[in-house]
Formats: sequence, structure tokens, C-alpha cells
Amino acid sequence: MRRFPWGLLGMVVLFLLLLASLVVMGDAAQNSDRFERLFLWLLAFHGLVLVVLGTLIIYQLSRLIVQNRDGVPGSRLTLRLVFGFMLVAVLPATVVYYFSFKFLNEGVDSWFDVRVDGALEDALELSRSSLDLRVRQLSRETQEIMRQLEDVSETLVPLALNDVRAQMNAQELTLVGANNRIIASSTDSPIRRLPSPPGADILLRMSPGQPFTRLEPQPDGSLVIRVVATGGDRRPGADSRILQGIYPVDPRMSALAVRVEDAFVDYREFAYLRGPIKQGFIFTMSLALAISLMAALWAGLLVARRLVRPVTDLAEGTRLVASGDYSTRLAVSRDDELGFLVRSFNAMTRTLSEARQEAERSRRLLDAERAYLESVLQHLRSGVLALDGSLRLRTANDAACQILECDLRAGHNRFPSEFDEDCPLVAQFFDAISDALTQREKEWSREVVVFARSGRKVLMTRAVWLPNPGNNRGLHAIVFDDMTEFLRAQRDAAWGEVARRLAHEIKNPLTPIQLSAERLSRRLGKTLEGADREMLDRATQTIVQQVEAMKTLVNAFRDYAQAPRLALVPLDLNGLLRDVCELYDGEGQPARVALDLAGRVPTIRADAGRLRQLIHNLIKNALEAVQGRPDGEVRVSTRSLEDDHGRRVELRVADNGPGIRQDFLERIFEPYTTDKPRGTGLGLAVAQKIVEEHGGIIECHNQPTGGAVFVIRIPVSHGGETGGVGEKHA
Amino acid sequence: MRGWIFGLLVLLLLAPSATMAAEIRHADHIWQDENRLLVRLYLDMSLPDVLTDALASGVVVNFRSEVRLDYARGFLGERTVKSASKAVRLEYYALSRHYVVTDLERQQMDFAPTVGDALEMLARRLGRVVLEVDRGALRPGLDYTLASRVQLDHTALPLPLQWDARLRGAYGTQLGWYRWSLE
Repeated sequence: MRRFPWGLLGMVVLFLLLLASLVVMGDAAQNSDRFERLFLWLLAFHGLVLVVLGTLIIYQLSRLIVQNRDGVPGSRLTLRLVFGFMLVAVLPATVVYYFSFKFLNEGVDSWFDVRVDGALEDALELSRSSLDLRVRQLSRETQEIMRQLEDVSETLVPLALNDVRAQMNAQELTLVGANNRIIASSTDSPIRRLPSPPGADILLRMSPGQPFTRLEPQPDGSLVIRVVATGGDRRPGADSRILQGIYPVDPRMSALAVRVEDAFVDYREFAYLRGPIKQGFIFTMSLALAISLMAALWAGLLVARRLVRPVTDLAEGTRLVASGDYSTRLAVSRDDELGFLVRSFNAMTRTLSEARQEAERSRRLLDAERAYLESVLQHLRSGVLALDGSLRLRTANDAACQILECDLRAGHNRFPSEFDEDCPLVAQFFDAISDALTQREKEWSREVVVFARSGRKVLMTRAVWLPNPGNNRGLHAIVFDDMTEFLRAQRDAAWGEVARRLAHEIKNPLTPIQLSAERLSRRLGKTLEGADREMLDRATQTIVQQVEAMKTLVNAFRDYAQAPRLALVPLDLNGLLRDVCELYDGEGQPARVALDLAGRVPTIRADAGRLRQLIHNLIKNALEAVQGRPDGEVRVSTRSLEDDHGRRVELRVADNGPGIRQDFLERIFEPYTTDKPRGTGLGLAVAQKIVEEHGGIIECHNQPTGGAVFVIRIPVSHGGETGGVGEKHA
Repeated sequence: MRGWIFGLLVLLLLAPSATMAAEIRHADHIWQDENRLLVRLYLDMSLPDVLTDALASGVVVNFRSEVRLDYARGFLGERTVKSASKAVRLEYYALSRHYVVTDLERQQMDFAPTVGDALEMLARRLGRVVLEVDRGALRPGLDYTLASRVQLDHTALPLPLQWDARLRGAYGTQLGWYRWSLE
């Protein structure tokens, strides 16, 4: 809601009041009565207004200066505007004041002219001279009258005076005797009036023999000439006499002389008042100037504040917007360009607020999508990697970390080459696919083989290059699966099928072959003698032995291909190991078998027969490895594990033999793989199959100190109790 | 110019005012009849130079003498029973080179060749004031006092001189009241 500009209204009213009072003051200065009644009140009013305005202005200016020093928004602009207004007001006012002052000084001075002054002096002197002539003439005539009256008795004097007065055209003739006694008097007035004898001041100034003369203005503006002459009564015993004559001046001469005198006096008075007149004008002008300047300054303050307020609000609003508060709305209090600016600001903040809400919604949606995608990625069994155009790692899911045995998320934004030491599989993996990545093949797939401590891993890898229009670096999306187990299972299945067919196809003819050979030996052995008999026996024996060997081979294949149904029971692994190892604790063994069993090993659910076969296979394999070595030793150890895969029991069978060749190590668990001249190549394949039947894993690697070690980890059955007592013996 | 204005303000506001000296040396009264009380003031008068110059330059100067008859009312102060005044004009007549003292009530004129003589005449004119009081109406037992003063009539001065008279109290003759008991 728009605020009513009370301040502006007050200022206008005050200014009008001051203007009116100045007009009244100027008028009063021309009128004595009004001056007497109003001047002091007006002066007091103006003084009060000046003091109040001055105080307000000083207060406002000091507050503005403090605000400017404290950096209050808008104060600097207000201060500049105020000083601008002040400059705009002061400069013209000063110029006008200066020229008015100069004009007033010179103008008032120009009213007076030396020539006029001289002319008036001359005119006055002329009037005086003219009147002096008349005065001297009347003086002589009065003295003559006085002499004529010296011989006239007091009785006749009144008649003589009347005659003389009429003759002289005098206004009054009075003859005074001793002690100011009026002897006789004559006047031209039809109304009888008392004669006025010469006053004491006249008598005191009279010189003996010299008449007293004086030109006297009258209340009606006319002039008279007073002449007082002394004389005596020449009769014996008579007193001295004084004759006073009052003669009117010729009306025309009187009028002229009075006009000259009036003009002269007016001019002299005006000249004398020149200074005070100027002072009065300058005082009024200065007062008007001071009031105008004060009012202008006050108006400047108000207008500047009104002008700057929207700017200040805008600055504050902008600061709030910059700090993130888009809810700021400014009050629109005017319809001018500043009002338009404020409305535009409000529209901008509204748009920003809506855009921010929209961006917030989009961000939340994006976060949800990202979380969803992250969740999907994390739950994928396939490893997923994303690399940017410069081959920096951007994304990796859990499966990728697991397959490549490396915490790839810790290496976010790193190059694959930077994983060399910590994560060898990562380095091998990226070495294998680096050519495709650097060439930015649009879509490709390949089988990548890496070698972990647990053995060879086959990773089926597919990748796609996503050139991002908004980002020239693009993105490599790589998906890979650990196909090792799948391939192994596939291979095992193939081998099982081969073994089953071999057992079926080979074993069937072996028995007739053996029986036929034995029959040949029995029938022909009776008929032959000597060397023929020996040859027959050797040949049939060879046939029988080879058939037996082939049966053994076929049985082995059958065992591998046709695994019996497991009879899982709670089993104490330590106890089973002790039972099995006792068989190897005796004379004639190529090396000693040492037991290093953990104290408390959890019970596992296992088929004791199959595990026994497994342990026999591993121990026999190890004994064969150390055969011929005087210090040969096979160490069987157990321990309990608890990691990300749960609780497991670990069985290690280690020897100190020559170890296993690296190329052979990679496929040591494949069927028909052996480095022994008489081995079937199925022992370790069967061992791996038994471990996998129990849900465990088997690994083989060479020890740093020499020799090979087979590590088997079998999960502990649910609710399995700890059993067995650990022991260590050789 | 700034210095000139400053000087003017100082002159206006701070300059000492030249005041007229008019002292009532003595005063008495006499009953002319039962209704007329003549008050006689014996004055010593002198004019400041500025006023003397003004007079010589043709400025007319008016004076006023006032007489008041009061009676005391205890803590309520005084109450005026009757008052009277006399106005006398003093001017310079250039044509005859005389100073003219005019009783403005009686239109009587006195002529003096010098300011001193004129002031004596002025003092004589101002010093005779008739108070028309019914002598019989005065209540016995009350403490009647006569008060008198002489002052320059500012309002009769030319307006430019009234600035000085008003702003600075120049030519002030605001003498205190001269009091004496009515016998």
C-alpha cells in the first residue's frame, strides 16, 4: 500500500508558510504600524523555523554520514544526491544573491548624486538668501518703526501700531515695556487673540542695538519672520521698549522656500538612511536566502530519501537474493521508472523462485533416479565401470569391485594405471582393454583373462562408447562378468560327459578282452613249451595288466563323472584330519606329515567319505611333490575364518617341494592335467569337485618360502558348534 | 562579500547600542485645581551622536513622557488610577538653521539655534504633564504613587531606523519608572 508522503506535504506547507511570512514581512517593512505589530513576531517565527530546520538538517545529515560510514545500503547515494541538490540550490542562489547584493548596493548608491545634492544645497541657499533679504528689510523697517514710536505716548501707541501694521502688512506688532509688559499690540486677525511677547530665549540672545530676527515655520506650513527691535521712550522717565513684529512671508515665496526645504530635508534624510535601508534589504534578502537554502536542503533530503528508498530496497533485495532468499518481494510504491524496476525485480525473484523449485524438484528426481540406478548397479552381478573420455574412473559398482578384487570407489576419478600396486587385477584388466578404450570403439566385447591369487579369471567384457554432446570427453560404459565358474562348470560337464562315455564305451570290451586273454593263456599254455610258453604268458599278462590299468582309469573317470549323493552330517574336521593323517604316520612314508590344527574349529556339515577322499588326494599329491627330498614335509593346518563370506573353516595342505609351474598352475584343477608321468590327471579335478559339492572353494598357489599350498575354505553349517581340540604334532 | 555580510550581522547583533541619556533628576507635582494634577519632571537630556546626526540630516525624532498614578494593592501589585502622556517632536529646520521643538498636543513650537538649547526646550516641554484626576475620588489611607518616564517614540522613526531600534534596541530611552509618593 502506498504511503502518504506526509514529510513532503509538511515541507510544502512549511515552505508556503515561510513564503507568506516573508511577503508579510516585506510588506510590514513598508508600513510603520504593521512593522510595529508584526515585525518581531515574524522575526521570531523565521528564527524559530531556521533553528528547527537547521537542527533537523544537521541531525539528518549527521545520521546520513554515520550510515555512510557504516556502509548502510543507499546512504552513499542519498548523501551524493543531497549534496547534488544542495549544490544545485546553493550555486544559483549564491549567484542571484551576489548580483542582488551588488545591484542593491550600487542601485541604492546610484539614487544619490553629488550634483543633485549640490543643486539642492544651492536651491536652499538661494531660498535662504532671498528670505534673508526680506528679513534684513523687515529688520530695518521694524527698527524704523521703533524709532517712530519713541516719540509716541503710550495712549497713542495702539493707534500708531495699527497704522504701521496696516502699512507694513505685518501679521502682528507688539510693543513691550519693562518687565515684559505689553504696551500695545496690533494684529491682522479679525478674531482677537492675545499678543505673544518675545520669549526669554529671544531676549537673552538679543544684542544691544541689534534687532533679533528669525524665520519661523508655522503649523499650517507657512512662514513668518519674527523681528524684535529694542528702543526707548525719549520722554523723561520713560522705560526702554521692545517692538516685536511678525511678518508673513509672501505665500508664493513661502511655498517655494518650503518646497525647497522639504526636498532638501527629504534628500538629506534619504541619504542618511541609505545605510540602514541597505542593511534592511540585505537582512530580508539574507533571511529569504537562508530560508530558501534550508528549505531546499530539507527538500533535497526528503526527495533524495524518496528517490533512493526503492534503490535501497532493491539493493537489500538483491543481497537477499544473492544469499539465496528468492522469496523477497518489494513493495511497489510508485508508478515511475523506479516502480517499474521494483516490479521487474519482483517478477525476477518470482521467476527465480519458481525456477529454483523446479530445479529442486528435478534434482530430487535426478537423485531418486541416480539412487535407483545405483541400486540397480549395486545389485547387478555383472561388474559395471564408467570411464570418461580421458579414461578417468567415474563409476564402479560392487560387483566390479568384487570381481577385480579392489575397492574401486576409493579410486574415483583416478586413472586405471594408478591402481597398479593396490589392485593388480585392475591393471591387468585395463591393460587388456586399453587399446579398445583409446581407440574409442563404438561397441566391442572380448574375453579378458586376469590372474588373481585365487587363480585365473575369465572376464567376459562388453563396452560401449557414449559420446556426450554436452561433454566432448564422452563416456566408456564397461560391463563385465566373471565367467570363470561358468566356464569351469561347462568344462566339468563336458569332461563328465567324456568320462561317462569313456567308461561306458571302454569298460564294456575290457572284460571280454581280459577273459579272452586269460582263456588264451590257459588253452595255449598247455600246448606250448619253453620260450613260446614264456612269450605267451608275458603277452597275456601284459594284456591283463593293461586291461586292469584301463579299468582303473575308467573307474577313475566314472568316479569323476558320477559323483555319489552326499551324506552330509556334522563333522569335526580336526578329528577327520587326525584319522587320515595317522595312515601316513609310519615307516616307509616319503616324508612326514605334520598337523597344525586350530584349537576350536566349528563343526561343518560334510560327507565324511568324500572329505576323506579329498584329504587323501591332497596329502598324496603333496607327498609326491616332496618325494626324494630329505627334509620333505607336508603340513596340514586348520583355522577358523570370519569375513564378508561368513564363518568358514580353512584347511591348508602345504609342502616344501619345488612348487608348481606357473603355466601349469593356471589349469591345475582341469581334468587330465598332470605333471606326473603316471598320474591320471583327475586327482585335483576330483578334489575341486568335492570342495564345490560342499559349497567351498579351493585355491592353489606357490609359497614365497617355497613349495605349494592348497587352501580349502568350507562354510560352517548353520548353528554349527565349535568342536574338536586343536593339536600340533608331526 | 562574505566578510561584509558577516560584518553586517555582527554589527546588527553584537554592536553596542547607542542609547539616549535622559535622566529624571527630580519630579514633583502640584494640584492646579481639584481635577488637574500638574506633574513636573526635571530632566537632564542628551542625544547619542547617531541620533544627533540623524536629526541634522532631517530625521524627525519624537519623544514621549508618561505619567501614571498608581496605588498599591499589597501582594496583588499596583493598580493604575490614571495616566497621561505628552508627545514632543524635535526636528531641524534647514531653511532657518534652527531646531524646532513642537508640542504635538498644543501645536506650540519652540525654536533653538543649537541641539543643547533644543534639548532644554524639549525637557521643559516633556516635563510638564497634566493628569486629570478627581482629587476627591482619591481614597484616604491608600498609598498612591506617581510614576513617570521618558522614552523615544520608535514608531515615529523612519522605518530603516526602526530596524536598528527593534533589532538592537538602539536609541532606546526605555528608562525605568521614576516614582514618588502622592502627597
